[in-house]
Amino acid sequence: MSRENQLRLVLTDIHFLIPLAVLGVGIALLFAIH
Amino acid sequence: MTAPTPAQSRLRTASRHVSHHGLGVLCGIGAGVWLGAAEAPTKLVNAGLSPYAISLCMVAGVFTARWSIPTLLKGTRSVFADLDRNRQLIPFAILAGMLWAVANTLTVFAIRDVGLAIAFPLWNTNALVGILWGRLLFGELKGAGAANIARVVLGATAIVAAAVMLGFSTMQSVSVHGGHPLGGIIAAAGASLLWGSMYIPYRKAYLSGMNPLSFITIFTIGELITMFALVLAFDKGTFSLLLHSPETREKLFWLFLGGFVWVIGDLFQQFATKYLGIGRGIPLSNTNQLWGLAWGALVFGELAHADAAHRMLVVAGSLVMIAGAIAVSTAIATARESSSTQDAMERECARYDLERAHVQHSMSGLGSTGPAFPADQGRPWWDWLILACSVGVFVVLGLQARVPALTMNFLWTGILTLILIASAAICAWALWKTTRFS
Repeated sequence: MSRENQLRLVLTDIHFLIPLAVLGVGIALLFAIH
Repeated sequence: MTAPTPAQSRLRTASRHVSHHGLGVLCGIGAGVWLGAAEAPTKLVNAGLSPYAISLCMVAGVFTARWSIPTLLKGTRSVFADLDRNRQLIPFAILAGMLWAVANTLTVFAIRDVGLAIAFPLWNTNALVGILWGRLLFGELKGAGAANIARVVLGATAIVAAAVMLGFSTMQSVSVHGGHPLGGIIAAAGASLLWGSMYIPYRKAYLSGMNPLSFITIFTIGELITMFALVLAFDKGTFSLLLHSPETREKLFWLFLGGFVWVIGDLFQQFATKYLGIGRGIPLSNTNQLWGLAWGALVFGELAHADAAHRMLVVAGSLVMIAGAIAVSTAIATARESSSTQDAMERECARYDLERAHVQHSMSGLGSTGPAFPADQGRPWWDWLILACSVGVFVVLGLQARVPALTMNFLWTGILTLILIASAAICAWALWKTTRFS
């Protein structure tokens, strides 16, 4: 499997997208609270 | 030699499953003991450093340990071969490390605004978040009997309830915090969400056949970079006291030591996640509060002035937490639930074109397959260099460390240290004997 294809699979994987969205929430919270 | 009959194969699979369950439970309990003890060295660091700086120093210690322990146990060749085989997991490991660092910083705000007693139980609900993700994304508890579901859910809830009781037992009086209670509660809830979601990459890695020791070497890169970025963003940037104060050096050893102890606990937590899943692994690791309280109360005398009601709360909270841990520990996955795990593994193999035999082998705790297991080639010189550098860092920091004038009970320090060493020895022996740390 090519690296590009592998990266595409990672970036569209629900197991990656959910933690990524949660990380976004966390960083937004930090800026809001700080 | 005759081939085993289907009945013998089923029996063998079932018995391996039960032994892996026992191993996972052992690692979960060991994780609780070590994660709880990680708080002890940080208690020796009094005021003078910002919470960001304390976190960054601990993470630096964590980084040192996360590279030296896998090097010691498996060797860098084995770790890099595993990473090369699972390149698709590298972004997941970095993301998990970033989640940890942001969650840890949120807890700093939560403690500042509502105090540890309220904040700790709130972020301890990450076990319930983990159960939810485990069920939705990896089919954990799918096909499990009502009794097992009840044991896991009620057990995890009991551990959270016990965290509330133990948290309030340490609150001696109603104190005024930062004045942003809503912000503090939101920060603690955010930490719970982040720490509960951090286990998604963990579980994915192990369903893809990756070794926990390989995962943590990449995890820590995300952790260190994010922590450093947070110090620069929130702690006066490059003017941070951490980067300039000579007093910092005296305290670094204790923070590095805390980080080192934490890594060992986290490693057991990773193996618990691998062999038990998220839903069972997190609640067992969350018993760390019990051990943190034991160090605080018995070694540092934090409950010396507690009244009878507070002491009762400690006893009741401890009993509830133990009962919760027993409930989760006894929820052994049935064959139907195990087949859901198999389905989750199949999904990873199909999506990323993984070698099924290798993943299956690794999931069974049988280590790597292939004609030449890299560790068999002997250790390269850089393995020794990494180990020597790690030991060197601790020796240099140890020589500069100053023991603060703090009242400590040395008898209890000795007893708890013995428990710590014994728990690590038992877990390490069981992991080595059953899986060769795979």
